[in-house]
Amino acid sequence: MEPIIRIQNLNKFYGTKHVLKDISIDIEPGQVIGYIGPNGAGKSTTVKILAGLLADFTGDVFVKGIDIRKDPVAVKSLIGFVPELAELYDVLTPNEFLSLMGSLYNLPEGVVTERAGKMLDAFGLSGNMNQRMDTFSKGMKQKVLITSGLLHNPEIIILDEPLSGLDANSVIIVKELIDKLAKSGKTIFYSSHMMDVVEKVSNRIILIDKGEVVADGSIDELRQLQNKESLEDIFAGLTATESMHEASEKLLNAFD
Amino acid sequence: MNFIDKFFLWLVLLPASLYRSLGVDIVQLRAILSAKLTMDNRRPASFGSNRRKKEKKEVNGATLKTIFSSLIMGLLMLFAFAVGNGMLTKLSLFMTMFIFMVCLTLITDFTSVLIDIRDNLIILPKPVSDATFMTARLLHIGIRTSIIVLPLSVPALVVATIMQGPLVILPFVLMILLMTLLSIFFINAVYLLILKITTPAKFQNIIGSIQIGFVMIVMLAYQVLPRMVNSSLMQHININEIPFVQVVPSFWFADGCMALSGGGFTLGSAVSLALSIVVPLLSIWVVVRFFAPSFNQKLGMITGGTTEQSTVTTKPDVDGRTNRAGKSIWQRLARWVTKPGAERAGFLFSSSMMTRSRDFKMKVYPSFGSIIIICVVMLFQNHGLEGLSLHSPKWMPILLLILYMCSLPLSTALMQVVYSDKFKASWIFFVTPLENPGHVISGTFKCMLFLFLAPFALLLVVLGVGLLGFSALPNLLLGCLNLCVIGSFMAYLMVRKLPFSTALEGANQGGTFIRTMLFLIVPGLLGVGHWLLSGFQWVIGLWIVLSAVAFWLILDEVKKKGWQNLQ
Repeated sequence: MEPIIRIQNLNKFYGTKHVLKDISIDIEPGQVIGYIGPNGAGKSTTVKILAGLLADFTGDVFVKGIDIRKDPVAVKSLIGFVPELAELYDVLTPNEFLSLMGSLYNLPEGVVTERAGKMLDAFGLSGNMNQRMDTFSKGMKQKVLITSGLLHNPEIIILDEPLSGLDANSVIIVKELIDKLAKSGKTIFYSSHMMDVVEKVSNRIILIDKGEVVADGSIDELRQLQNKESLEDIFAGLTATESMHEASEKLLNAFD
Repeated sequence: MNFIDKFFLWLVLLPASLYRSLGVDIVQLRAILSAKLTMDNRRPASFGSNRRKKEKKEVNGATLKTIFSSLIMGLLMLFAFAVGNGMLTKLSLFMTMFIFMVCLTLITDFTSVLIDIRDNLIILPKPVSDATFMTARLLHIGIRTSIIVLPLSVPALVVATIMQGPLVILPFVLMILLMTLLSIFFINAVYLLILKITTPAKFQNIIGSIQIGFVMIVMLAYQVLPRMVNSSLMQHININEIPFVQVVPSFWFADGCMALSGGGFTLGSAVSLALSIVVPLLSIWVVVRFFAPSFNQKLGMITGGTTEQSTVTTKPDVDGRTNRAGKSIWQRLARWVTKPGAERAGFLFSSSMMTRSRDFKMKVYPSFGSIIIICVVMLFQNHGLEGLSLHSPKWMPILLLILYMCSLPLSTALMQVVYSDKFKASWIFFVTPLENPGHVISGTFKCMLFLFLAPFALLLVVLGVGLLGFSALPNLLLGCLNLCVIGSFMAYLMVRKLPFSTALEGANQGGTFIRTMLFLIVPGLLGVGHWLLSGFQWVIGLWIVLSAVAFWLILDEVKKKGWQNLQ
């Protein structure tokens, strides 16, 4: 099958700092990719490149056969993006914000109003649709953001830490939503720190460290490879330079 | 920290034992202050494409600009020395203006310093006493104020020395210091009063409105004050003849200053001197001892209370109500004047942002004051309206002048529209398939025409037709069209970023002065040309057609702006 996202020899520098080193990934339609790695590994940079926010990289990124540098607009319309801890124009109401997003995705007004209403209702925000978001909690804002990323029914959904700030019930809703979206054929690129969620929702896990892919496979494959049970241990085994016990020991010894 | 900040930090920490007696922890005080000063010196990291610019050397342009502009204000305040009878009158006048100006700058520039919400998360959970916290805050404000106060008072000091001799220098400096302390007390009291009578959630909105009002007053004052120098009333005014002048704080300072600089002591001046020294010190003590605890408590409510409140509130926004009733005015307008898609989105987005965003309103709305000022000045210069009867042709140049002046608020708005404290939220334009950012910009510009031009233009057209009859219509129409042309041209030249997508602090202030001059000259020249030709109906007719075509063409160019045209 033709990969829906093809990343080839992707390199990215911030100044002289080499943050992504020769990353090559092919993603099939319908896959749920769990994209994990330690802080500063290059997760956010990859996500930003895929979402079209960064253009100065070397290598190639094709989405559905379209070169993201040649036609970023066409690629962007295929992608729904939910950023991590995003800033919002919070003097707008959710209704206004979502119709702005809808217009930017070229959706007809009627469709936006209907979808936004239904989705916010599902998140329990129907009573807050006409309130300015400057009084919203973090979780409420996150729900609006998730809605804004799904509004145009994109084929590819990029989620960067989408559960931050959500309460337990909303986490369940979003996890099931990811599952159902994947079953309906959407491709999902899920970048996160939360191992337990990644383990549950994704059918392929890509682990990057210091800008390089260090593991790539289903959770079962990774288990066999590393001979460890939980994703947390696999993660530690692949990315940690010294044992965690030593580190925590050192932390404690700092008081001496 | 730069050397200015280092110097100030050293200076304010000198009276350490005094602080200790107030219950202040000196080590914490120093730590908080140096962190705050360091933060003041740094500009926030910007989003997306601005990342590269971060490597550029950090400049302290903002500080220099502040110093420069307060120096200009200081020079303007020399007005006080040009009027009035006797040195005491002149000094009282100056000191009144000085206190007013300092209060004003405190209230406009230091809201963020006073209500830094991050303090709640970072400093309040630490074992820092209220007294330490409040002292740190006051000293921080003090340092930032000094940057304004020094250039503000130096011109007056020089003039006073020339007029009165070198004996005046020390008392004058002392009085400046005491007046600044008193101003800080005033601001704190005002803030606390507002917090008392309103909910913390509304606090920032109220402060915002006060700030807008104050800035408008200052603009008016600076236009009107110099004109008053020549009036005979002002020349012969004598402060001692004003009843109950002894209760005005600026009189104490002036009187005290005169007494100390060799003016001789009387019972009255001794009382003034005592008051001028005791009251500021007492007020600062009151701030630290009594205001601080309640202020911090209220401060906690500003952040703590908001989320709680929103879940309780079921009353929809004003805009929500109009939405339910049908379409809001803006939505209807958008349907009329924009194409669906990015342009309409830009229009609606800007209409909400421009009418609600506090920092945009603060920067732009005061410039409406300039139109009012022009009207006042026109009346002054024409010695009232007795010479102007209905249908008098003299009305035409006045109407045209006011009409062309309307380009000022529009140009301010165009300059400010790309800035926002929520600039990071502009990611939405970069992840969506937005082909032509020009469409968003043109939507924003059209919204501005309706918000900043249409109300005035409509009023003037109605007024003009009422005064001069329908024969005035072509000229007024041409004026409006020319404004649209000027506006669209400025939008084409200046708006090179998406609306509300750039950090305020990172703003390039350098070209502003030159640009402002340009925006005065271009409408001015067009206006003069229009006035000269206003008698020739057929020329006006032809010009209307040309302007309409030009407007249409330029607007089209704005729309065509692509990503490569943006900065």
